Amino acid sequence: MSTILVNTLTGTGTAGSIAVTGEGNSTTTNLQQGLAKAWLSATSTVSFYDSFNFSSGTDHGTGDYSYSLTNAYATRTGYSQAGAVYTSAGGSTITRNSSRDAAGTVAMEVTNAAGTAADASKNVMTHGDLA
Amino acid sequence: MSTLKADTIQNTSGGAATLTKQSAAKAWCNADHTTNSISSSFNYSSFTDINTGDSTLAFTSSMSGASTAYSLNGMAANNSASTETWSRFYTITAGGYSVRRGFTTTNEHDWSICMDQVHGDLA
Repeated sequence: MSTILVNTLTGTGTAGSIAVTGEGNSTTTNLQQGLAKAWLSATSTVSFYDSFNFSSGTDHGTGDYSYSLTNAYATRTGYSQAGAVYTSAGGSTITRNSSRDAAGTVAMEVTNAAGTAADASKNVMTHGDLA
Repeated sequence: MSTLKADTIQNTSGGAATLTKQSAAKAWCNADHTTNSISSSFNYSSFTDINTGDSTLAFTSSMSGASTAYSLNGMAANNSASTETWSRFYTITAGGYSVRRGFTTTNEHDWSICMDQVHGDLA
């Protein structure tokens, strides 16, 4: 057992690319590409319970939210988004809002079981390549 | 301030090093089912159209096992809150998975932004 204590990891060939050996010892995976670049846990209005790499949020109306990234992604289609609604209301869903999203903006809409926009707390995480 | 510069990190036996209280995603994608292409991704080798709203995606490096061996999350983007979207995975193997996506309750649809994220152990 050995432990390296360090504050910053940097690739020697490409500064932003470090390979780590996978759990099965047969492949490697890219450390930087695997890290979540932004996540949030937010209230039914727009404020954060907690977050990473988000600077602020905007409430556009019932169930309609967007959040600005501190460090943006390279492109609008350059990241993957997942999320869940935190509510006792059965049948609620959360969807990425393709009319508001951008490289620097993560957007989502929440609907209830009837398919009607509804306010709810939500958890969202994103993975991708930063600009 | 200290900086460690290295291209590859292993444990002392040549295996996987441990990230303290953290785990990295092993794959993620942003795919376009209207063009049957992958817009951006990590550890995906292909996107195959099966039918409307129905596609199969393959990993470059496989996961350690099939359906219960890793966590898979999916979402599609929509521009109307009145037509909520869904993603449903129906065949999951170590090398990839099949997924159906749609809107309302039963309508399958080719979304232009289909996003999946994978956490677990690599083979």
